[in-house]
Amino acid sequence: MLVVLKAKLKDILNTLAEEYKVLVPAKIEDTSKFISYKDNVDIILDENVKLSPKDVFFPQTEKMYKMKTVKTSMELENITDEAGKKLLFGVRSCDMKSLDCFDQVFLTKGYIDEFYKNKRDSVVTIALSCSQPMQTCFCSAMGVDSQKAVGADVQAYDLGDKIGLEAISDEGSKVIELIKGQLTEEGAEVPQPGEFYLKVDADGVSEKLNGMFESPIWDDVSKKCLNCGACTYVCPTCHCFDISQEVRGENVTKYRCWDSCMFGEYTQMAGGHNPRPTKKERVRNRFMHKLNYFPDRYNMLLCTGCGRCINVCPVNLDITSVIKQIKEAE
Amino acid sequence: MGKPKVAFFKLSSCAGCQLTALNIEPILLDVLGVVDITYFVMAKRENHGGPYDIGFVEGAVTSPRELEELKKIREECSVVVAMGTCACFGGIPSIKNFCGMTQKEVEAKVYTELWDIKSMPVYGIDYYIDVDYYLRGCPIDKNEYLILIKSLLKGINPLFRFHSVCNECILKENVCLLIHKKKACMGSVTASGCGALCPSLGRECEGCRGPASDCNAESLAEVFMKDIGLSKADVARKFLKYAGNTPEFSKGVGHYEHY
Amino acid sequence: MSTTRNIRVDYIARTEGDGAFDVLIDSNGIVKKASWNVWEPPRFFEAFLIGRKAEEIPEFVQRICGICPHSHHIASLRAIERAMDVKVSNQTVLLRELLHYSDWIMSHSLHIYYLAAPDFLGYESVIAMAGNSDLLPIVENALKIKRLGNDMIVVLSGQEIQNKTSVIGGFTSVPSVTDLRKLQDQLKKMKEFAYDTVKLTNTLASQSPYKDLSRRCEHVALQDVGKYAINEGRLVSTMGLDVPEWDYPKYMIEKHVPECNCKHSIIKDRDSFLVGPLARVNLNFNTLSIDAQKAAKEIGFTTPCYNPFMSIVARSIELVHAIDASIALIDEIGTPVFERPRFSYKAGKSFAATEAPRGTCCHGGQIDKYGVVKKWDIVAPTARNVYNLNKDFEEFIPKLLDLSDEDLTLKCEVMIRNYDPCQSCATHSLKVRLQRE
Repeated sequence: MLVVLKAKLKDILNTLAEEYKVLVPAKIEDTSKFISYKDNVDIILDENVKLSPKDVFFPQTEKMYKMKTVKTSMELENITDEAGKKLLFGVRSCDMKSLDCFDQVFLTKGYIDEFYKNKRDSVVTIALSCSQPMQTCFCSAMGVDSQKAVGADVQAYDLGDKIGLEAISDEGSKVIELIKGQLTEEGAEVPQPGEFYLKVDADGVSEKLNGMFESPIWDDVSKKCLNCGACTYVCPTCHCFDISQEVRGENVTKYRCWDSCMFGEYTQMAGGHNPRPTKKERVRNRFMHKLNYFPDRYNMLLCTGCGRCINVCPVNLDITSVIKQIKEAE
Repeated sequence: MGKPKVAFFKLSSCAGCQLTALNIEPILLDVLGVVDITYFVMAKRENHGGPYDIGFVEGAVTSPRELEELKKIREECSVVVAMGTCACFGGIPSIKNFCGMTQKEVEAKVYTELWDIKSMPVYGIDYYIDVDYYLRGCPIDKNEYLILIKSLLKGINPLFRFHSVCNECILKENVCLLIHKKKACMGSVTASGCGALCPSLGRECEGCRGPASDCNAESLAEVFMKDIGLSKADVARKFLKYAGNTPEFSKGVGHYEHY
Repeated sequence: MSTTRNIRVDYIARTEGDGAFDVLIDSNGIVKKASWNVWEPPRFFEAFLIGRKAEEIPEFVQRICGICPHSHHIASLRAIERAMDVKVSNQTVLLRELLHYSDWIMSHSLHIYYLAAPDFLGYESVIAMAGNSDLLPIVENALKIKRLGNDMIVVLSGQEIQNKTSVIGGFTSVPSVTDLRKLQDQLKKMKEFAYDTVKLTNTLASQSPYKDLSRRCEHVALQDVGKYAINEGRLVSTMGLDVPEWDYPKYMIEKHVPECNCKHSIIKDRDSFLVGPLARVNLNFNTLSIDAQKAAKEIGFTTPCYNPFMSIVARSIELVHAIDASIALIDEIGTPVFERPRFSYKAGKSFAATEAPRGTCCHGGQIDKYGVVKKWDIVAPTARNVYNLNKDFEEFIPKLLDLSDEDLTLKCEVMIRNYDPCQSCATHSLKVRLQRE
């Protein structure tokens, strides 16, 4: 396996930065997320970032196109993404899995979302294996292999004081080619991950939910929910959006921004009817979508076990205990 | 159509919301170009009587005289906007409704001569009249104010979405003050629209914009007691502040009538 | 002309809050009654603060007034910190000063251009002034300087009105040095306009009849060592008062006068007094910034000045000073570092005062060992000035009897606006009174 000392990682990133716009997991103030690589950024390799990289592909707010009224007609203006390839270094398996989920939603079943596709096509990924799960991690229970990410161009392995690199795709081979001179060949093995603190058995939960739409557990689960929507924003797989527009004189900008199924207005209809009038229906929808509707449609869970929703919930509404509750329900 | 006639009225308040209406300096002259401010005592000497197209009412109702004035405002204005938390919910002055003293006791604390003091429990203006639009916040948010004016000029609904402050806070990528800093932040039950101003500045949300839609005050009250270590009286103080009059926030107080 | 004249204005425009005045002149030209009444209904701050927590007091009392929130806020913070024995860093002291000066810049420019200038220039409002193309540049600059005060407040406390960051023990977040430097550049740019404002207001206040009206009375203000007092100091007066600020309840006394239906603020064993910019400039002229002193000297301003119509000039001089002081404070603060505000509850009792844009603002009270407020006292500057204003009425109106009712009414309004009254604040010591013939 090709390896590099962690201490020399910045040399590699500097080389890559000549070719790509490199994004790395870094600590900023009290939080951590993917930011543009510079020499002085505080890269974190010992744990996953608090904010997933989903906004690289699906920004919080995204301008879609502009319009302008000219006399009696309209002129359309497309908005082009910034040119050049991006390289995302150090994405964990759970977040790579979430990209797989996004691909299903935005690129399959006969519909292609151009806004997503343009961004997705311009990114090369270097996934990084996890050596030690965090307190809230449960990816293996969701069928994610923390050592081998799906869809990565390069798979990197945490080997203690070194990092091992392995090209997976053609795009990945090109990346390795660029930095080959800075890597050494060593006989390292793929490491074994540490044990998970959070133990969940999600087998059969999708099937079990088929008959549970009217189950009383939803009253219980939703009781303490504050409807704050924090879980949906930090979730790497949540992908709901709202399309809106800003009008300034003759200029109109259409944009889309993240929305959340936790909000009443999300399903509010123009006539006033709301099919999900209370938080019970909304909380139910969130879990049904993740664990039942999505598997039904795409044959995979819409949860990657990253644990971020557990970390941000003000009232400790924990998806793993919801799964337990579902499995234990009559 | 001529320029709409706009009036600003002040009930019991600090004038901060009216001042916010003037604090739009870069575009103040533009706004004055599209509306006709016919009544604004704080800003001008020549004020004209109604009827008005839009009436902004700042402040809570705390005396019988104000109630009469308010009823007249409703008759004179086609659109009434409750401007600021005092007008929407009673605001800070409404704390006296919950301080455990009778109206007479409250009066005696401040004044020695009581013969012509006529005060009443403090409520927002919609306790007495129909209100068309609400601008929440202590003080109001400038952008919401401009969005409202713009919408009224265009004749469309401004569609404010009162999600919880958490919504905006998490989009700003702030660290959660409640979970990670153990501060008694009211953001999760409070309506957004402020851009999560206070939490972004390291200050816990105090709930000045009133309850969010789907506010779950009981659940947050439990977190305050269990995780943050507030006493029942502290929790009561948290909810009986800017919008203690609302049924949503009073649920957070539970059976504890006052602090 | 020898008839009884009754001049009444049901609301005083271009002031903060809700007030009215009523003047009755008998056939001999003697002012029989002159009263300024605040309609503003009471909000009972001093009652509902009882039973609240100490840390809530600064948050609530700033909401007494939307124009001078920081004056109330900082006074209450300092009273609580003194009562609970909380020490704050030098950086916090400097940031609070800068915050308060920002408020001065905003409030002074608001008063000079929005509220007072239309009187002297013969317009009904600043909006009407903007309609005159000759005055438009001045109005535009006035908007800019007020915006600058607002921008400073936003950088320091998050929002123009009601600050979000200042708490017991310090600040929950501090501004970046880049933002402070940007403000400093803006301040330097606006200084010339402030300087011109002194000249402009002097021209306005030197018009007849204002220039000849003056009345000797006691002027009271805070005085600090080596700097212009704003957030702390000793309480001094032109008649020899010199006591620690926390002793204000002993020396500034509220006396009930039956025939006037409002409490009169007096200095112990003496008479009515004036607080505000004129008193400050008179008492602390030597600690004004060099350029503020220069501006004052250029227009021939001499201390002590007992002409209340010169208040607008004193305010302009202070505007120059506030800009200079802010520029210097930004240098002194340098790069602010975040310091976590800390405090613990402790039983105690204390009082403190600040200089609000319109005068000395007093707060204080008693806190128990659980941090629960037992008693809280608030006296806003406008309440201090009411009695003094009524004396102005008695002195000046007989000199203006030749004027038409309309003109005399306007002059009475100007006399009130001299004090830049903040009627929302004043509610505490004024009684709501229904006017009856």
